[in-house]
Amino acid sequence: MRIDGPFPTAAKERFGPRSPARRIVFAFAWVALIALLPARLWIWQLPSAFALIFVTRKLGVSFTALGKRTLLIWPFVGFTALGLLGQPEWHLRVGNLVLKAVLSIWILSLLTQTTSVIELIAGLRRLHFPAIWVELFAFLVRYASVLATEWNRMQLAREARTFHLPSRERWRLLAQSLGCLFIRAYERAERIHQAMLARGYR
Amino acid sequence: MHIPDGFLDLKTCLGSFCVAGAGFAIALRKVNASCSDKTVPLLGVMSAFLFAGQTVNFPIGGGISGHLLGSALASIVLGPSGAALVMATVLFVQCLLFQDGGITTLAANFLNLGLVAVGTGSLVFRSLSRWANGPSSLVVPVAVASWCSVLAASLSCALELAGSGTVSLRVVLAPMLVIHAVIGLGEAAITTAMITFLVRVRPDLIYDPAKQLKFRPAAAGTARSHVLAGLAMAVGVVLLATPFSSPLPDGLEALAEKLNFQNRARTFWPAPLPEYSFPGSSPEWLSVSLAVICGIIFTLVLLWGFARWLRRPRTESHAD
Amino acid sequence: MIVIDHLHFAYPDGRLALRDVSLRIGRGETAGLVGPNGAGKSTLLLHLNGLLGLPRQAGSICVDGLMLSEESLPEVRRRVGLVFQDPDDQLFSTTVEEDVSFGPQQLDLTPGEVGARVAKALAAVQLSGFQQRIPHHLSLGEKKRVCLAGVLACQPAVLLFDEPTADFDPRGRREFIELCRSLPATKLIASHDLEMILALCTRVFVLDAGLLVASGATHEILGDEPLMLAHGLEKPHSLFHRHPHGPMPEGHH
Repeated sequence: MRIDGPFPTAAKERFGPRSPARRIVFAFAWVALIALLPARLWIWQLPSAFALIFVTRKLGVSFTALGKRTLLIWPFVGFTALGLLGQPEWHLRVGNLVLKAVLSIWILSLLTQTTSVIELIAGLRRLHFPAIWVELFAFLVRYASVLATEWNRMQLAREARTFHLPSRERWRLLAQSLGCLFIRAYERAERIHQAMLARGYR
Repeated sequence: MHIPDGFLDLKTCLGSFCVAGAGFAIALRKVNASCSDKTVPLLGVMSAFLFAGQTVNFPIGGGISGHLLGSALASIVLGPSGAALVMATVLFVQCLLFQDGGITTLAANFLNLGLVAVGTGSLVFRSLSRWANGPSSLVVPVAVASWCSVLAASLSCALELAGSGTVSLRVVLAPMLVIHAVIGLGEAAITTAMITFLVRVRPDLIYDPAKQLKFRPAAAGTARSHVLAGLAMAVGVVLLATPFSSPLPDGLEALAEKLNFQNRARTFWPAPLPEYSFPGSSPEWLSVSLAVICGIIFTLVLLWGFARWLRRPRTESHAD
Repeated sequence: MIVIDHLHFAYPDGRLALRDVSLRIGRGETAGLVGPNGAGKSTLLLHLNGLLGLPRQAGSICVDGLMLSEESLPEVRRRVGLVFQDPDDQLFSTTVEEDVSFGPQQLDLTPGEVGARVAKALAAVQLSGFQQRIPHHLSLGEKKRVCLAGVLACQPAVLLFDEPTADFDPRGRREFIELCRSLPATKLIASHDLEMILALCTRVFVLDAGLLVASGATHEILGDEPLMLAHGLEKPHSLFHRHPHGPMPEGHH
């Protein structure tokens, strides 16, 4: 029941476009190209795949780390594949879905491996993403780790006093802790707002 | 329920982008009207909370654990508009930093979890809680609202997948709904427990539409942005609904039927590549959508002209 | 510099936080605000920045010759800097530089001027070169100093501190006291760290349950043991014993 700590931050080695904005555009365009290519043209995904293997090698990113990133999609892929079983050309269609999903995730994880969150935010600002969205993005990145630390502290304090709990109680406690976290988050938002006002925010 | 890249085709991506963009803009306008200078810190921290809350796993039993989706929770404590913005932020971060959900499908995911789930949750909660008196009677509205929100989101997810021609609706619909009916139970339990706790400890934090009604007068340029949002919404709905325009039972079968007309269509609409004829990307949808969109634009222009014509004499008589 | 007259304040839930508080602090003076937990110290500080709305029921606040009102609010906030107790409340940006420049950016300065102010403020708290650091990765003491830099960058005439030394190690605390002495602004420090109050402040106000129960020269008030004990405080040790490092306080007996 722990929450992960802060977000990945350090940029390792540089490759490809220098400015984060260009890197974001490049990655998004590449993902769009891969994701929207018709299924029958799957052979054209191969150049992308070879290019990605080359870039990954060049950056020295480990393939196992990238593989772990794709874990999240497998339930979804499996679910869709079951739905497709027995349909005409199902192997082509399932294979195509897997190929597209894996390649897109690969590109995006290379983007986050080479670009720190701060650079990403700067890039999004540069690209004139809706200002409020970028602000909220930055806030989330900043406070998710604060809340995660707070949550882990609360859990530690609770575990220190918990000896044996039936599972129903565990549910109730978990929901209450989440409620506590919510109240703390809300109060923190109010204090942040005051602190912003105190420095002349309009 | 985060759809990865590659599972949706161009028209669904574009359609959901239009609807989601319009929904986002409307939500932003509403939130700004009720708490303008507080918007960024409040929603920022709330999205951090929801993000953190979604990573907390709770045991379901048999070694399986689930986690919160949070759409209903957010809509109950922040109101529908605030919840939509928070969900949009959370989905964006999950997609960009954790590759949970795709970039091209971001708008579709926002449509499911941000607009459909939040809207359903808030509607159900508000209509049921009308009869609630006292904290303990909120249990049923909250539970039903969160269960319905999960189900509605899964329904719209299934429709998007079917509309893209990824899987046929008949195959995907039942398992999708059954699985999420079970997931929804967990969601309902945790949301209910949380809300009853909150009502006991800080009842003032629960969103109360009656308290939020002090909207400021709308800013200049509203009419134009309303038209823009409406137009985007209409275009998106058309794009999303095209594959279902034929009798509903099975979108893919309908499309396969249309495939037979493909040879005829190609003479009018030369495909850039000979193989460019997979159901999801057949130009058929494009021509249908374009026709409907042109119709909408034409109607809007007519309406606009009519409105101008209606307004003109009144302003003149006012000036006299 | 700061004049508060008959200030009453109740929170929306009806809790009475301040009752008929009146105080005066002269230009360049450093004053302390002490009292038990929940006495209303933080509330009073928030009031001086107009963060809890304007005085509603009764009373008035006047800062640097400006009466607190709807029109004067932005100007008052510009002149009054408030350092919050929890640094995470104040550090909301993703980098230190962005955070310190938040205040100056609201003042219609050129980017160059903002950069210069940021560098100067960070140098003042001995964190030069921390511009690109991420707030979450700093130690608590460093965070606190970044907060202070963020407020100093606005160049306020009045500085308000809420528990400034609570997160510092002894060296950080000593450095903070030195830094505070070197700042020319009028200062009001709310704290339980009575030794620090003793070292910095010329005057002290005792607040308990929203009432201003005593005010006067620091040594007299803090040396008054019955008064201190009655309000959940203690007479500082350095007033009992001659401290090996510090100068002998005048109220020593």
